[in-house]
Amino acid sequence: MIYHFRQALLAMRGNLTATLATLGTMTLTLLMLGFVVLLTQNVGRTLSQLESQVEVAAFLRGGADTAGLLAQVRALPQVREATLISREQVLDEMTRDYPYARDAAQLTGNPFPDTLRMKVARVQDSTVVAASVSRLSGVQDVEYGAGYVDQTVRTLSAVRGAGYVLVGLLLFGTLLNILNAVRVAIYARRNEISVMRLLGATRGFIRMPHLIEGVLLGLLAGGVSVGLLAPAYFQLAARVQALVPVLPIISDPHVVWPILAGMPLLGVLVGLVGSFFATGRYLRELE
Amino acid sequence: MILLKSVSLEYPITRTLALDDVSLHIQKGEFVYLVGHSGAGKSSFMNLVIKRTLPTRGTVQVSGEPLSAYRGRRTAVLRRRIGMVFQENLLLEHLNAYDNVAFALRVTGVPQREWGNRVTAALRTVGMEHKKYALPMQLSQGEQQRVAIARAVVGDPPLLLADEPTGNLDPENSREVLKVLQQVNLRGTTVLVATHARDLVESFRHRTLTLRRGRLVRDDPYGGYAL
Repeated sequence: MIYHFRQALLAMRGNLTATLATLGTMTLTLLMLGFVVLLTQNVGRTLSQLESQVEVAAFLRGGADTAGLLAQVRALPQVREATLISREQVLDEMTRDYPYARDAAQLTGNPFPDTLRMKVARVQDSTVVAASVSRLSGVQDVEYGAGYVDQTVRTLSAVRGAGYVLVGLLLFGTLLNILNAVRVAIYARRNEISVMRLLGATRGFIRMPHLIEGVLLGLLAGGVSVGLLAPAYFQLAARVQALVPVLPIISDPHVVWPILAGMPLLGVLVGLVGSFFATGRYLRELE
Repeated sequence: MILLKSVSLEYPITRTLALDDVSLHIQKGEFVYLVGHSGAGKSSFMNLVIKRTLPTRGTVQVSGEPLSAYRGRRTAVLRRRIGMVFQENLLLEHLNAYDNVAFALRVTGVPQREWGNRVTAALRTVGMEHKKYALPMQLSQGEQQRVAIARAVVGDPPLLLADEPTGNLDPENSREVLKVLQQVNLRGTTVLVATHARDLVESFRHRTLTLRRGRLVRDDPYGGYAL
């Protein structure tokens, strides 16, 4: 094994340009991948929060059968939760946010109607629930935030999808780079490999240094990308959190580090697969 | 040791018939010359034996097994049973004589503790023990060829193939190499030498197979060069 390891290091040193090119591409790809995965996690968490906050509010007419309406909306399959807020409770809530609301109510009377607040199982259901509830007798008006939520969900999903496509392309590029680097290394060793085959070396013995080379490149690229991404992410997360406290940014090390640890593992896997195919193809050509 | 039954070999791209209906049997422990002009099929014959190529027709058996039995990992097993020496000695330039010979043991997984004795013995057999630390560029062509023979026999293969081993050598070095090959044969190794060096075949007489345009035209058990 020491021999194979030494041969791998010699090959990397002997083809320094190809090695550095591969290392650079791999590092960039893994950086990008790590960034996209973290972004996706954050997007996912934001989407969940948005979805959990989406409410459909039905404003009732004075004298409406509140208990009956509450029972009817609870019977809708898309409704996860429904509560009746009396006009006095609404005024209390408004007074908490806008202290002058109570003063105004004392002058003109409580302007707020009894309100049914409903939480839906899925954000897409908001429209259906709003339409159904608006047709109920005693309901004056219906409001829901699905318009902006839908758009946000679509935008965030598109960002996530674009990120995955980009990472896929970069991974493919990295694989080609590895193939190229290993082929250059094999070409440099072609005399030695010819002799090895004639002396009865197995394919495993011949390809081992190149597999090690792929693994080392993957590990190095993974290490460098984690070294760059980890501090950058934690710093960025802290700044975003400070700027937009409402965003549920993931900064828990127990969540972030497993994702970061996956990057060197993926690097090793890509390196191994690339080297395996490159050596396999070359050895087939030799036979 | 080597058995060919109605073997033909045609290279598909050039449609060249390299071997044409060749049948022969080389027994264990024999020393055999394979002679013929350039293009007669000598190297094709060698390539068949080490499974660098496969016959278009007929069957080739090495050590009692058909070539088709040596697949995948077993191709390496076949080659470990055959020592190979070429006109170009194919020594690795960055390794000294000792390491070049030891390389054969390394690639076949022989434990390192055994290398010392076996490499020294192989170099002694070819008379190169005193130059074991010399790099190939510090050796003459004849000496390099002797190191290549040491590398071919260090694994104690039952069969040694030498393809034009004296092709690049002057007469004196050629004779030295032939003597070394005979010594190897005396230890029980079957030796097959492809050559067109008439003087050597005449001087060191052994069974001689003559190929002409891919056909085996003569099998002379007492030797002699007749084309």
